[in-house]
Amino acid sequence: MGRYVVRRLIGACGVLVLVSIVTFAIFQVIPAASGASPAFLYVGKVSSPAQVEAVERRLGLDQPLVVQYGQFVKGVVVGRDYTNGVDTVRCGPPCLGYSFRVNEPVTKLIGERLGVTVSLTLGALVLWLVMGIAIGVVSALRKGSVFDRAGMMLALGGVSLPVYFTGFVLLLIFSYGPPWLRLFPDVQYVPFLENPLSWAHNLVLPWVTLALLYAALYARLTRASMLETMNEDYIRTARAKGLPERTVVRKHGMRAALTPLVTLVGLDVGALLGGAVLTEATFSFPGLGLLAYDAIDDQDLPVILGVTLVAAVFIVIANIVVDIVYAYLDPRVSYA
Amino acid sequence: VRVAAVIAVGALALAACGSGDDSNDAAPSATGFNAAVGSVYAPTTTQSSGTLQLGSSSDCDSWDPASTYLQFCWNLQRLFSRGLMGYDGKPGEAGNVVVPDLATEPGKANDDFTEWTYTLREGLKWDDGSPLTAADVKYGIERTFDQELLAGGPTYHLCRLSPCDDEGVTDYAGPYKDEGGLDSISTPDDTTIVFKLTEPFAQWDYVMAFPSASAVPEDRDTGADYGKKPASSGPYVFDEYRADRSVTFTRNENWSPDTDPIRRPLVAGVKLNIFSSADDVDQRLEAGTLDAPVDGTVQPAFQSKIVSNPDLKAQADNPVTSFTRYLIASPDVAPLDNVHCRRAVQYAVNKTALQRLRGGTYGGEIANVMTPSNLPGHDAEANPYPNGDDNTGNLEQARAELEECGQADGFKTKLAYPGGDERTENVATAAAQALERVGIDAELVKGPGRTFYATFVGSPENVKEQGLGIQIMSWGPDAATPYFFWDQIAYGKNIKPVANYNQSMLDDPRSNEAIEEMTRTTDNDRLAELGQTVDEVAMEAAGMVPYVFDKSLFFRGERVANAYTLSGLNGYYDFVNMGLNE
Repeated sequence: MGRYVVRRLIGACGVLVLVSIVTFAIFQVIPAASGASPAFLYVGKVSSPAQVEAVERRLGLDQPLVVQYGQFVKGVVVGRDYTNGVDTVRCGPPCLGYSFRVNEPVTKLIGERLGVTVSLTLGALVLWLVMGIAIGVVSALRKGSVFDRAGMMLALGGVSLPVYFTGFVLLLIFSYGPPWLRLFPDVQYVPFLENPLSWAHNLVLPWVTLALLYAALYARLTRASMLETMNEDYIRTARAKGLPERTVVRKHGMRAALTPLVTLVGLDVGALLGGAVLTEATFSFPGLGLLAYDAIDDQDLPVILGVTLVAAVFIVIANIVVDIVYAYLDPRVSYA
Repeated sequence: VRVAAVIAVGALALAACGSGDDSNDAAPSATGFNAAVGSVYAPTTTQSSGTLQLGSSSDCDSWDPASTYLQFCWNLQRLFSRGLMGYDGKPGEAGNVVVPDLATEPGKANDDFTEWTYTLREGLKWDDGSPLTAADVKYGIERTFDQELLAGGPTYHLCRLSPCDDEGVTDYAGPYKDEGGLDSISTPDDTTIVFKLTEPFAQWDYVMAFPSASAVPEDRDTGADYGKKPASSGPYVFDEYRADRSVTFTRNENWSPDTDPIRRPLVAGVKLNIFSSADDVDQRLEAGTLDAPVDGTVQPAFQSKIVSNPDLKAQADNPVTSFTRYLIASPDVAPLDNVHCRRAVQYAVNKTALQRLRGGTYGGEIANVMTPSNLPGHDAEANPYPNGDDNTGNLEQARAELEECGQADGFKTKLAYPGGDERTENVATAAAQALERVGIDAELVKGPGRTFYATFVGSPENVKEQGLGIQIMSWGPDAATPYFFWDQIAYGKNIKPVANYNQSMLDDPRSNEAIEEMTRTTDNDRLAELGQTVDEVAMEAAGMVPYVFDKSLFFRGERVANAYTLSGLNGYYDFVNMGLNE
């Protein structure tokens, strides 16, 4: 297993290098080719060519692209030093660059925003797993019942409605609706350590928004998987042995039916940790998604590159974890 | 024409005369819609222990006074940052005037406006209690010369304080690279500062009101990081900053009202809350969790609610900004190199349709000349290209001009607009549709959103290469005087290879001389006349096609007191003097 993990990690590094090259190329080469230097975003309205060149020097855009990329990689490995004119600012490894828009190392910005995205993702994950699996299992066990039909209609609705719509409707009702319905007024992210109660209270609507989408998907998948599993021969055998129905469902049905969900959970969580852009934007939550969104708007290249790489890291790690866990859960899968 | 100018200048002069009054109690008060435009809504001098909650859909370009260029940020700089001059804290036209701030009186200039002397007030202090001296003012200006570290702010002073080469590189490189200091600024004592300019410049008092001329204490300067925790010389301390999220301002215990004629703080604190969208800000304003917006007009959804609901409308204000929206008919692109073809565009444009897309009468007033209606030199009667009683276009006259241009059946061209803004795209589409009525076939070309003005239509070479005959444009002055309105868009010497805002390529001796004279006079009557001259020349050349003078629609929360819009800073509320009625 150890060799398997090492092999996967080496492969993951290759993927990350590839992602960094592609992202670097997209956000550095294209603006350069169009002649619109990002330096124009930093100079004032009335600027001279000298001012544009000065900013290009500070951004490192006066260097050849290969050198710029080389410096980026060097920063990741050994860190880099920047100057604010008065002091030297150390950006320790893994230094993902420096945002000249807010004058902070990208790693620091990502660190500050990661807590928001993790709070959002993990809370929503609990909600969607509970809702999705419960609805899926009960629907499968009561196939064709009113609950099944209502549950699947709800799932269809959840899948069909985009996050920004669901979020907006929830805000309209519970934040800006009639005073007696304003259970969540003035939703803003509050760090957990600052006030845990306020943290949870402000996260309820974003959690529900995100969970509705994923719960719907998981309910449909769980239902389909449970239906298939409950028709297997070993389930019939278990029942024939006289096991209580609850044991049949929980120990024999759900365990087998839910194994494929592990893959999905891993990938979804990995992707969301990279930034739940729409949910964060809808609720003005300053997470990684909103950081990436703002960075693209401001052409803040180091931040774009940094967030993309971090998102890629999460997905790659999630993939590895899923593969390992899957092999553990399902003896038919080997670490070959 | 002259009468209008005299009235405008008269109002300005009257306002200036009253600038010594350190209270706005005497200003007219009002209630209801537009109560804070030209008057004070709910005037009060009562101190509140509450925190004023402001909302914005974006963070400032920079909180370093040296590096900010957005006017809403300049407005917020008033909370904690002070320079020799500043905008008077008064409603109406009085807010267009700069008055002494750290200085005891406006700059004393020599005969040719090349030397300016200011005297600082006694008892000025930083928030840490240390004295604020002339050396701090000098240092604050010196550091703006490091354009590698501190780019982004206005640069009118750079080449006027240190000789520049053809590329705009100053001899002096700023205090981080050149420890010798700037010779053109001297501080003979702690309260005197003298500027020796490289050329005459009568508008220097306005340059001294820009945030980039704010005082900065050298021992607290952290270079490019200064914007994270700028020192405070104003009534509020820049207390806590979370980039793209919030800024908290608390009261500065070392600020004294005796040293500040402009600011009368009324609340214990101010918090700027930054959200991801302007619609989000609107919703929170309506719900009452925010008191006022800082960075722009309400969005269309909230606007329709406001105008149809009398209760909401009573909480709204609709000031004119200093922005003119116009099209460029580029003389660099045939057949628009013929003035008659450009005039055909002037007649054919449907200003009513464009006004509707900009938010109707709440979004702007129809513009027939370039100078905004709140700026000296605006001629309300002038209308060189009347395009119908309903401003939908004078198609007959447009066709006649096309015939004179030798393009009786119309012509093909391209209409460039910046991407990323649906409203602007709609304006471009409507403009093209209006021109099509007389046979001008304008193909829409979407340019880059953020660098559209700097490198797309701001590059004469690109305009020629791509044949961008018509361009979407808007312009507002950095200070409310004719010089700052015209210098970049109508002065021949400011036609540049990139970041060229003189897109109509106006290089007429009459307008050039008028703009040059603006740098040699402080006579407001004369300035208004000169502004009017440039406007007439620009309209005669027909390269600028004005259609709307921008207006903003702001919403003030129920808690707000002592609210008025500040004309000199784009009509935003003057937050430093805003109070709460609790």
